[in-house]
Amino acid sequence: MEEIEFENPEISVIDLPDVETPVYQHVEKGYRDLSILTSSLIFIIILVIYFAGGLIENLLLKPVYMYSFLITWVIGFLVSVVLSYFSWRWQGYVLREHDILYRSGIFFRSVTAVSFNRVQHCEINQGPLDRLFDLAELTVYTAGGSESDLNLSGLNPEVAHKIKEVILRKTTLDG
Amino acid sequence: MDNNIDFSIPSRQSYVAVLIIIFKTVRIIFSRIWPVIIVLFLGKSDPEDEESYFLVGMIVLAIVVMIISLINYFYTYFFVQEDALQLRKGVFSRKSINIPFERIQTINFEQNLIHSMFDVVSLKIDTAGSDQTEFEFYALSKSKANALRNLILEQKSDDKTRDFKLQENLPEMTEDNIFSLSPKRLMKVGLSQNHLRSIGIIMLFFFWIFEKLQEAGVAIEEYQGKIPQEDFSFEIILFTAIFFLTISVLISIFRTIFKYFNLRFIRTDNGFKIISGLMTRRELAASDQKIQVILWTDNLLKKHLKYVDLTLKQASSEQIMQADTIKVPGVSMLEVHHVMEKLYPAFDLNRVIPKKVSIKYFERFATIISVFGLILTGFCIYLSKWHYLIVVFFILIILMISRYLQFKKLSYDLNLDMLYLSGGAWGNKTTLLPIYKIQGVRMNQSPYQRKHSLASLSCFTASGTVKIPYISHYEAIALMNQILFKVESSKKRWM
Repeated sequence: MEEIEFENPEISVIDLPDVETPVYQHVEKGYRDLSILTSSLIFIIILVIYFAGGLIENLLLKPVYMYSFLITWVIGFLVSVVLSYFSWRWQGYVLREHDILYRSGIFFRSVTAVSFNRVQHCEINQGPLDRLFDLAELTVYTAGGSESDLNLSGLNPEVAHKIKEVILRKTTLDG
Repeated sequence: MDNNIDFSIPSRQSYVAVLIIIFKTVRIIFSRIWPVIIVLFLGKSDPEDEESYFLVGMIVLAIVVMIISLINYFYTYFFVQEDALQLRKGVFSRKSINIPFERIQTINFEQNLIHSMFDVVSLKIDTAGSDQTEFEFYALSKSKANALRNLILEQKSDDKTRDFKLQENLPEMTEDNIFSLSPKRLMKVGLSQNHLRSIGIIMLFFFWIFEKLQEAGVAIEEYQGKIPQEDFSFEIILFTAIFFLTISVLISIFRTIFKYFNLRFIRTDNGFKIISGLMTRRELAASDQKIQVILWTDNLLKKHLKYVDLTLKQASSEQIMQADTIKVPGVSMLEVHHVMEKLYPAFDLNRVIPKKVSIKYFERFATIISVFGLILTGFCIYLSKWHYLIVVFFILIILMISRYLQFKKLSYDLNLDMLYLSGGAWGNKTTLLPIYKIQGVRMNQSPYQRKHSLASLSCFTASGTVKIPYISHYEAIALMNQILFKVESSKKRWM
């Protein structure tokens, strides 16, 4: 076990770098469009399933059931679109000297921080829909279990690769 | 300790492995076959049954697997080369596996009755990493296993010594007994186990028998008619309750004895080791560096008997975390302090200043559970199920009280480079970890929490998540900043 002598003067809590103040980098606007598209697709599939079910079981096509379904459907659809639209505004990331911060969520907000000297490895993923919008997802893995992995979705692929490079360089530097 | 074994020559495992493989198969077959024996005993068998073919199939399969294992045994060789454990196996296509020492995470011994009769142990080797490999030696002579383990551990800690034969002159590792579980303490541990779990095990067991008997074609409904219906008096209920309680206490005690008999908790040069078990002796080791979190728990009974269960959690992948955890039951707080002194010399539990969480932690839960309870009450009244109403209220009150107790006990502190978290509803649970072992931090805020400017903080470690709920938003930010600062400025290796 290597023990490097390490200075540790007392530091006032107020002087510490703050996770609230930095300017968060937005992810690509395309990600907002993509999430709106995905939630629309899901709702359209629900609609199709309902009416396909209606062909088998006529009860579903009775006005009472059909209208209450349609009203719920419209409300759910609108809410999910609005949510995807606005959650984009809060979503963002910051690369700092020693760590990466990522915040997300609109109702249930979260800020996650992973310092570079704890990063295990990074991965860039590009699904078929991502490619359509020219987006990529960067996942930063730590030893803290799947819960603590950082998922940076909605990045420009070039930016994703750059961030990955930065993180890996910092990891070897800080490690 | 015998260090003169030459591991560079490929060799097989001990011949006892053959016996172990056969024993394993017999056990599998027996666990399949015994419900049928009961059925035969009851004289209700139906040999033309499809199930019996299935059973025969199972047994044939088990024997085939056994034969394959046996053949594999004769074709598996291991040796040490270039700081790696080398394995050669396979009959037709030879497969060679190479496990570098530095990748080996844990080496654990286990000894069941057959093992101890022939003085051999089974050896399990876990490696971490994205491509997970596990390897188990069925049987290896004890001296050989010890030598192999020492070789691997020493090689890991000292990369400079390339030639493992030089290791012969190394001093023996010191071992210092921290704690042995005396028979009296063992009984206490057994008595204060969570008996609810034992009741659960009994229930499962009965359901299992029931299912097996039904599978085997016994008409249980016939017997149901024989149970007298009218006599559900107070005496019978009391008798059943006492009966179940006695059985579950007995089961708890037996389980405890089997698991923790002759337990020894040992301080080694740079870690801890635990050896325990009646039929199967288990040995589990963890180095200081690999221990991420320590925690101790008690319940109402244990509190009364003045001892706790101490747990040392090692860094490991999520799948084998449970297996790698060192759990020492029946430890006094004095001994916990002793462990803390060894593990965290700079830390002093008396200097912890526990801070409370917000009362909203209770209030929010109480509101949600009340709304839920009201809905259920509505249903009960609507369906006029009055006796369900009592159950609903009972559960509601239990949940409320336990959440309130949880709130009362929850306290945390970030002090002396350690994170301290204490809590629990009926019992107590105290968690302690060095801040530099934290892998990542997350602050969560629900709409409700945002309205009251509160937040929850999750600290991810390589052996689980430690969560501090419902603290003020500013406090959460301050803690997050402090943790990040400590993690980033620490040059210590977390593993």
